[in-house]
Amino acid sequence: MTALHIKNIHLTIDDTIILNDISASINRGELVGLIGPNGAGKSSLLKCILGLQKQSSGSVWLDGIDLAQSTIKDKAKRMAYAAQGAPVYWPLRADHIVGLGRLPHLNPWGRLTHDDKNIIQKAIHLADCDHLRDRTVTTLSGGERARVMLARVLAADTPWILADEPTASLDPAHQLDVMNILKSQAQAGKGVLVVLHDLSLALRYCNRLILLNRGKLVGEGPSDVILSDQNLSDVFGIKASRWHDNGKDFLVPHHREKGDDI
Amino acid sequence: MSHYAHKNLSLALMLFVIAVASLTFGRVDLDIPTVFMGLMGDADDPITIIVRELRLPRVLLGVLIGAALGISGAALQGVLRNPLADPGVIGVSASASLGAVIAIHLGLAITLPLMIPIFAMTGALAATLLLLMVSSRDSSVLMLILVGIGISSVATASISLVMNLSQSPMQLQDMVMWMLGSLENRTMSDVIFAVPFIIFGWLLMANVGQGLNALSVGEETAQTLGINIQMLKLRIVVGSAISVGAAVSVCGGVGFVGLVIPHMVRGLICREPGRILLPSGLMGGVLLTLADLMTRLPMPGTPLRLGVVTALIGAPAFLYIVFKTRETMR
Repeated sequence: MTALHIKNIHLTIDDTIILNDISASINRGELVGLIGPNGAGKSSLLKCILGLQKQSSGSVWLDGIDLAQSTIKDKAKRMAYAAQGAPVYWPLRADHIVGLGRLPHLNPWGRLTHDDKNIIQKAIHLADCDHLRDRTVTTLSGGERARVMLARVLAADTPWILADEPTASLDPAHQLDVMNILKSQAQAGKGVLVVLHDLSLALRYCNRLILLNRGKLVGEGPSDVILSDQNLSDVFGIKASRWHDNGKDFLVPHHREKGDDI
Repeated sequence: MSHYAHKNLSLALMLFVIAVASLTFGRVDLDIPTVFMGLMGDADDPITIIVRELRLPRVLLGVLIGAALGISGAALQGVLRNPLADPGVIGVSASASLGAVIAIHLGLAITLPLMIPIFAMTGALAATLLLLMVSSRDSSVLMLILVGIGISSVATASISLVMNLSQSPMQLQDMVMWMLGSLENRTMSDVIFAVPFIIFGWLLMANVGQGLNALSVGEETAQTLGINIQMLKLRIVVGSAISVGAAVSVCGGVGFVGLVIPHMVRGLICREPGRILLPSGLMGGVLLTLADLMTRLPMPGTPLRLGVVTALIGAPAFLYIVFKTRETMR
């Protein structure tokens, strides 16, 4: 029951097939990576799950409930979303942005309670944003803003987290921080689905991977199985070096299949 | 009490003081006890008439219209996520003006003064209906702004046409004067005409605060925070169209209030898009009542029109704000 089931999702926009019969499952307690080259349909699949994009056919079941039957508010209470690029349109204080995460739990006239404020405080701390809380978000760097958005997602305290490239534009230390936070959220029993471009991070942190290419599901399974030499070559057009250090697997793309090496 | 509530209370107090001052000031200066007695109907007849029938409608309209323009400006800037939006962008002000100009052209205003606001409101409602039809199909921000500009352009072209066809210079002067805005010679029937529309518009926008705050992080993320974006847009566009339509119908063209007030509030009170509606309403009331007071200052020659005063205050204030906030508004 406590799982996300994606069943036969098709998505066609203006005669272009974006997603072609995608089925996959994610359990709570898992950190699952959604990977694939540019234009594979990763963000579109995330939006179909969230209800931001209506799929042409197929369904999404979350914890035993068909999401087509649930309200916007109900979905918001169950899934939190970190959008790609973390856009912000007004010069607001970072802690106000984080506070937006509590909106799904408030009634239309409700104010933040003491408990809400504690949750916001913890989320800010967890995302390493303590020193940013009084800053104006529009003056933050892209990486700092992405962390504020992660804090907002954590503040929502939903059983499911969906993040679209949360490590893009972060420095190496904060990339590791973000993956560690998502990992610990999964270990605490949440279901986490995250779009990643960094295959090494995907290999090290994700329990399982879903690999898309040109709108089709190539494979779903344990990270080391999905990131096989065959898949790297067929889907990404690369070769990679791998090694094992301190009990962890590493993978570095080093060679483009077609084209010249420098 | 929170900082925010404190500031709102001060603004409300300021609005009250300026409104009372506005009642005492005019061709005959009255002191406050006399104004009070006039309101109660206990004063001499001429004073009661001056206070209740000449000044009270004017002050009430100033407060209401200023508030309507301020709130609508704040709500539209929030929902369109554009600091340059004002009630004019949805085309309702121009459509209301078209209605008024037609009423003047047909000579209806001479027999029944209320015909101007009735025609103007009809124009505003027609524009609202058009907006509603468009935004129920495609309510992207770009579409709303483009349709608003389209409606505005058609209305402005039609105003030019009516002026072109007008044969009497007196009518032409009436039209121009009406479009410059004024609260002169307004009666209680103007107040009673405008209030239901303005209040209805406000009720539609009553609890959009959370939605506007959520929109700060974009439409898609806002929806994942549980906000029905489609409904939010519909309520704000229709709510501000109806209240601004009523405001313009009774006082004519009054520019810059809806554009400038939200910026002043952001600078002085708070920046959260969902919390600037109330203070924008209060500050809009203050600005319009003050502007109306200025039109009543004794001047050599023709007295200033209300829309001229608000534009003269509003435009430089807007430039100043743009320069001051350019760092954070990128």
